[in-house]
Amino acid sequence: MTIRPAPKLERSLASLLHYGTLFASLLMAAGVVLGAFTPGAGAASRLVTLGVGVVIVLPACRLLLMAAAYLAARDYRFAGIAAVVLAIVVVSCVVGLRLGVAAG
Amino acid sequence: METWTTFLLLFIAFGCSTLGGMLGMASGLFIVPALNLGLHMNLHEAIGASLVSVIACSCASAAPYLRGRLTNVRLAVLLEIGTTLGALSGVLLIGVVPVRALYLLFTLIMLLSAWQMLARRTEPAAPAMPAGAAAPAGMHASYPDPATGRELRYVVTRVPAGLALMYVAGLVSALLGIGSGVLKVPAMDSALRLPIRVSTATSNFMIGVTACASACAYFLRGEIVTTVAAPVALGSVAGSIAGAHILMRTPVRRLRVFFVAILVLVAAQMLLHGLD
Repeated sequence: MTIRPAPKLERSLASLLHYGTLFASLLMAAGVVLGAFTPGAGAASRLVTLGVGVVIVLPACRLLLMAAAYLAARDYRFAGIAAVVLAIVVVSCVVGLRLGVAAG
Repeated sequence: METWTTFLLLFIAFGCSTLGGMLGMASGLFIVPALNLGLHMNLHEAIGASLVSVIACSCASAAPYLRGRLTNVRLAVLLEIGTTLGALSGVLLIGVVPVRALYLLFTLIMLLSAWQMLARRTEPAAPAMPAGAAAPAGMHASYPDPATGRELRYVVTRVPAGLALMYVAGLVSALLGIGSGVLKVPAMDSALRLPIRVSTATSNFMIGVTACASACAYFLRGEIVTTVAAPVALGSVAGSIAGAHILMRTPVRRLRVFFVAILVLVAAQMLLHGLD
């Protein structure tokens, strides 16, 4: 019996997350290796920061992709749900910034 | 950051994540104590670094589950309303909650994980009647049984109760820098009644977005030390891949006992720190 392949959205999400993690890992690895050979180099720390940033932004991109896909499929209910989750993530960032650095 | 520290971080994260991956657990539960107790890093710094590795591991392992149609994407995004609201509350609270309370909460979660590991997880009984009105349309689904390739259908029940439990999971995740899998399991098993393979895949898929809500805030405030977070994330991703491979070949029973012992030991250490 052949197993039915995953729908298009699932496959796009899989690719986004797979290649996104790979890209972020390469950036971080390049930064770490560069930093090991040339301590104190600005380029190394910028690469590392960029890599960490890509990791953090990746789930937000995933939400954006889902919202767009549901919108294209005229599935407005789930497009709305994905948008709400994305909005909560954005609010969390704004609130976090406003509050300032945590104690300790 | 000195070079040897970077490699130490890589090595520690790899070890923690391999350990976690062997039993299908997230690594945050081990990484935070390793950084905090082992390397004497500030607890907030350890939580920030751990959150980044939690996202990286969730994203890195998502693809096979998605391609195998084990992840219920619709259910995941709906439940993420609960987890991200919880994470938002965590971001609001992290500066207010005393560090001592964080240690105590961490101890509690570790003991809960140990208990959960001892109590065998059984496949939840499938709900008798498809509760069509209870779940929004398009959430019931099916997944291929890996042994036979046959389609197994399942229905989703009691979504509101699931959402409430997910809120707590998101809150704890943001406060402690962990994936909170231990709190998602009861939500998935007793409220939503999902098949275990589906709930593992779906919960793993949600962890990334949950941790993103809090990690974004900490990152923008400059509270995530990237020279620590990067090697920890790299080591974790490599370790989770290695751990998943070992999982298939090790007798699981002996591993459980070993794990429970480690969890209780580390929990005791965290408790002592909290009471200090």
